[in-house]
Amino acid sequence: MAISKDLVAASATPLVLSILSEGENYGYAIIKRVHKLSGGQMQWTDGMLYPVLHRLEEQTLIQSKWRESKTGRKRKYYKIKKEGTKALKEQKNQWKVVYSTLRQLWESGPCLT
Amino acid sequence: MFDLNEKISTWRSNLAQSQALGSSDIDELESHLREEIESLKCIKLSDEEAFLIATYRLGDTARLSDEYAKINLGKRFRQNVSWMITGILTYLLAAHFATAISKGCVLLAANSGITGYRSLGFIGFGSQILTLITTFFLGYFICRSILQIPGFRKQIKELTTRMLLLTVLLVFLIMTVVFRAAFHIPVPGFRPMNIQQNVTQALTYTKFLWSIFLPVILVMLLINLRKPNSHGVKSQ
Repeated sequence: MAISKDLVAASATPLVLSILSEGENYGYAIIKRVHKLSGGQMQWTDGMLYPVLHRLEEQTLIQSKWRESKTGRKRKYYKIKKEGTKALKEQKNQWKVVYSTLRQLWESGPCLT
Repeated sequence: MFDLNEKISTWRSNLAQSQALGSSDIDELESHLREEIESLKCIKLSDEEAFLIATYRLGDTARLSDEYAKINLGKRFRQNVSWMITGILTYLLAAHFATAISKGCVLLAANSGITGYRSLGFIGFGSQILTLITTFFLGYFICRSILQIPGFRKQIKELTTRMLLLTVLLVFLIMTVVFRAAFHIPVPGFRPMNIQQNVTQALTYTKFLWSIFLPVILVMLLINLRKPNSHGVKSQ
């Protein structure tokens, strides 16, 4: 089962912010982590993550820095900012409302009367 | 023989054609691509296979450039506005330069015994044309060589038709006013008493026309630059 494009796009911001809230990271590793956590069901076109990261940076939720890794490869690392943590909290609350609404509907079963 | 670095540099230059992607954006994508290729080679894929899969996963260049355009558009617009302001300042500089030259010419002419408002009027008109030409070439040179704006030649090409039309109209109007003054044909709305008034009037009209047309041209330029131009990229 592949997740629909719209849903992937909508969940991109909370996913990225959540991963970055664990510590700074770079694009390739963020994609790999989402892939692993979703059991391969959340398929991003890899390149599409970067415009999302740049948008979040423009909104000053995250910041970036070019740095050399231990293996000598140059990577752009992203780090969450205070505003980002705040935005993530807000996003979490919103997703919780959506999730609980759907769950109540699905758990009560279809109403046929 | 498959040359991985050569393939990557072709892929890079393909992306660089898009105005939406800056060189730092492309660096970041390349870093991702190389990382993916490395990990694919770990599972015993050849360079060629790894490159093909990695570029496929990264996404079609045309779509990538569309996505980047959405983000970079605002940034680019602000950049363009700052170039515009630079342009206006350059124009003002050129205008002052031309005025200085024309004043010098008038002084030289007066000292050589050439007098008469008609000749002085023509010197003024000549200086305006000089300003136009100097500004255009100065601006073109700065944009091409110093600022190295990507896709500048294409932008100029797209603008040329509209700008040409406006310039022809502008020059025609200025010429009409100046020739009317030169040949003592009164300009509607004002009946000059002597040739001095006639020249003054012609110059006033010219300045008035400039003040109308300059903002119009600037607004047209801004509208034109606002359009996203992300389809200049070849699809892979």
